[in-house]
Amino acid sequence: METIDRLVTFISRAVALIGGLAVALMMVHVTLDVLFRYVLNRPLAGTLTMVTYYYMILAAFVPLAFVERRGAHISVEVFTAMMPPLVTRLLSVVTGLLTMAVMALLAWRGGDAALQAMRKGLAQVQGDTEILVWPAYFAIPLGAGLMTLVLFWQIVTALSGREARA
Amino acid sequence: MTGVDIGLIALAVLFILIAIRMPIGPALIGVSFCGLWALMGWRVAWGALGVIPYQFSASWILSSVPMFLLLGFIAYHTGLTQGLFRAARLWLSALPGGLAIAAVFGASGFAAVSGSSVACSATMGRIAIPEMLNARYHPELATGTLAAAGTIGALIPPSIILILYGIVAQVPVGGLFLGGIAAGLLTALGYIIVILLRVWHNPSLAPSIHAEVTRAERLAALSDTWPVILLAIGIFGGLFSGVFTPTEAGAVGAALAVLIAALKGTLTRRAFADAVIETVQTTSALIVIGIGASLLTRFLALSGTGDALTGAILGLDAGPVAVIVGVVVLYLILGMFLEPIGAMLLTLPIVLPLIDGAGFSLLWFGIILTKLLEIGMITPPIGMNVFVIKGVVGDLVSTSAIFRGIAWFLAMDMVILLVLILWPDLVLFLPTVLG
Repeated sequence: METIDRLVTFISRAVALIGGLAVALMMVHVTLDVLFRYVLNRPLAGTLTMVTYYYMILAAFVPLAFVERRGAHISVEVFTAMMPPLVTRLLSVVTGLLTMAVMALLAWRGGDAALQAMRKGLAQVQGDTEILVWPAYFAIPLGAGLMTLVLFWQIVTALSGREARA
Repeated sequence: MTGVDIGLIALAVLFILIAIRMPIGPALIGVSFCGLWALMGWRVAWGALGVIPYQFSASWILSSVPMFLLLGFIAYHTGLTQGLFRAARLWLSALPGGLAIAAVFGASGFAAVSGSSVACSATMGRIAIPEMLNARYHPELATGTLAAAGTIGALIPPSIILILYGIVAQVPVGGLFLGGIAAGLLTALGYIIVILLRVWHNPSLAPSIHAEVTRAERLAALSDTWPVILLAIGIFGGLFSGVFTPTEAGAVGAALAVLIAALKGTLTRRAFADAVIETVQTTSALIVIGIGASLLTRFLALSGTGDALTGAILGLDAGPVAVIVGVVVLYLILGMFLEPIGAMLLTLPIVLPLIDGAGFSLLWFGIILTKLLEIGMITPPIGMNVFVIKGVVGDLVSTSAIFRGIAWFLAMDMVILLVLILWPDLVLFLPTVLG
């Protein structure tokens, strides 16, 4: 149990780090682009593609498991706050399973799209540079897949915790 | 079963899922996917789920959301804006309720470098509330002022809510930013009037401070505000002179904030890492909801449910006035319970066609909506800003006392809202002249 828990914590930290790097790089890249354009009248090649296809996609999807681990996905607590604890716990298992199903579906669909993009060798042409974009497509199956795992683990711990208390 | 039937059933299921606390984003994605599947078959649903997550996230305009978030979090974690309140305090201490008014000034200044009201309340609250309590201000006035003043953060540009609204409603973000200025300044002015009236009526709320402040001290305090002033000049100067676009302003602003914090000596590795991680967390959580809302929009359009709902409401012969009153009441109620950006993304697929159909300006409505969502940040039982302030004061002031302190500001918010609705030109003036 503890080994798995440590693994889940490690995953959540690792994906947060990747997302953080994407955000920091986005800041540096866009700022340099503005500077180069203004001072040297020569923007950096491929900024638009790098920002939209890499930094945004990585920052949005890879950290999903971390957001889940922190309980930071936005939900509405008003109604469940009025229910007895046992019901809330039961509902949290139900919504956990549903969320898991949706994230697994998204991972599956994203994986399919990523494989297709890879086979086609998908690239973006901006100016006279061509940038491969298919690797970024794997951010969705990776992020959604890891979030599915974290959800699964949280449901397992929630259920075993209830048994221990009963 | 018609498309509209499927749409209505899907909306009912969505409501139930959200009520039992399923995260809003996955709930939207799941319901929209199943709805599309029931309506148009597996292939269409599968196709939409493949395209929309990329289409929504790989967006140049959307990239300004994490960048403006980062700017605000860096300013918060490195204490860039501390000098702002101190200077305002020295200059305004002679006025009745001077510290509270200084806090409103401070919040308005911070609003110019921050896109969210929670960050604004937290930052100014941490600085201003202890000083106000030390000066024996009534705790309800002290906390209420800061919780309310934070809402200026989302009105004065930059604003996360306005960027996301602009993307969904396809209104230029630059125009929305210009429109937000008037609403933000009007709100600040309204709050200052509330403080003056309350303290004038009951001076014991805010004992006057008898510290002699010399001119030299005042000028010295002013020089402590350089980080914010430099940052604001950098952002707005660059923006309006055309050196960079509104989308790029977030990244440049964040980089500038890092630079200024380094010069000021408050840029620690910890502060930078915390700012980045909080940015990642908020961005990822928001984008999941955004993707879900895009899928729902697609589904509602294909099923004809959106048109049916809009038609039903407009067909009541309600007229534009009833539409806007209905929308205002809807968001006031939603704002009591829901997280504002989630509530906005969740409802816009239905509300936007309605507003458009009734002939209102979508730019103007973006500002009204932001004001409404910000009112939701301070109304009980769920008021995010109030909880943030509660986090700042700990056990010193109870949550219900903070809500009581807000009552007067809330009354003023209603007046401001009415003014903005009755005179749309207040909002539209700057975007028309400069846009």
